Amino acid sequence: MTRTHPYDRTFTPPMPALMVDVEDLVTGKRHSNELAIVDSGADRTNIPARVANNIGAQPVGSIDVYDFQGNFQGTKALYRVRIIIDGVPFNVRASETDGELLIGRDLLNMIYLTLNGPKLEFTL
Amino acid sequence: MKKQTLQNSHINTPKLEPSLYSPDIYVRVSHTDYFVEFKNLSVGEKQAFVDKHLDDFEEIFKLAVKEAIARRLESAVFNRSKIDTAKSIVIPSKNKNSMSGREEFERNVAAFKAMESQLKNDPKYQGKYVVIYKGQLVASGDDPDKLLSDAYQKFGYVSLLVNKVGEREKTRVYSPRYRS
Repeated sequence: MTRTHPYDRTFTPPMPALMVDVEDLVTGKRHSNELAIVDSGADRTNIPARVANNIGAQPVGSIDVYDFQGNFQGTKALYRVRIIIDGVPFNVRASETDGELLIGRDLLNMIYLTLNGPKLEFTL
Repeated sequence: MKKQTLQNSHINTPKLEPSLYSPDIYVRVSHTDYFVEFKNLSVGEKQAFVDKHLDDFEEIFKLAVKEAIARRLESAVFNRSKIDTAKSIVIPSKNKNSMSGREEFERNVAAFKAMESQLKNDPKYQGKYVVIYKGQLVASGDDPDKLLSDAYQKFGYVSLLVNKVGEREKTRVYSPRYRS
């Protein structure tokens, strides 16, 4: 089953982004309707610290984060969470971020994703 | 709920919110163990766990029942093999004197970094996963999932690290963002 979403036009240029739910794998506590950016440039899915805190997720490991220039950004927590996209759950080990939720290649490589730039919409 | 009360009553049913009560759910607490029975399926823990979480026992049971419902354990009731393999419930840690999650994580990271070079040179730990909890190495092994599961059974659902010795996990966020 596929679903088409519009790009988020609040970004300049518009960005493939959609609302997802995030669930703690152990307790099942869920955070709903979090804006997630489809980011093939992110090695791994990132979840905001406030979301991890909201669902009571506990760190299961640490990960060293580097920016696009290879500069070390710090050691962040890894969480085992379930990202729910259009009702479909994906279990990932997500790293913590102070920014937005990024759907990284760990998750993107599990799905079919079609970007339709001219129409500013994407299908997954 | 006081420690004395628990020790004196071998079987003690905690008060639950009415919305959590159901004829299908039975909760039993004693000072030696507890279990939650949902229809014919039960999950429980032993004395060490009970002792560790005495102060939060009532809360623990509310959570346990919610967990049983959330995991829809009733679907396993009519299949014995599923019952046997059903995952036990991991209760969140509620130690009021504990460090914040952030502080605990940073303590564990600092501890891991401090011991990393030593572990890398120790044949016992080379290439193994280690569990760091409260700044201490508490377990090691080859299977990170099993280590994590065992640690949760032992300590509850707490902040810890399961890191591989000699192989620091790295991630890169390639996409630069510009703000106008």
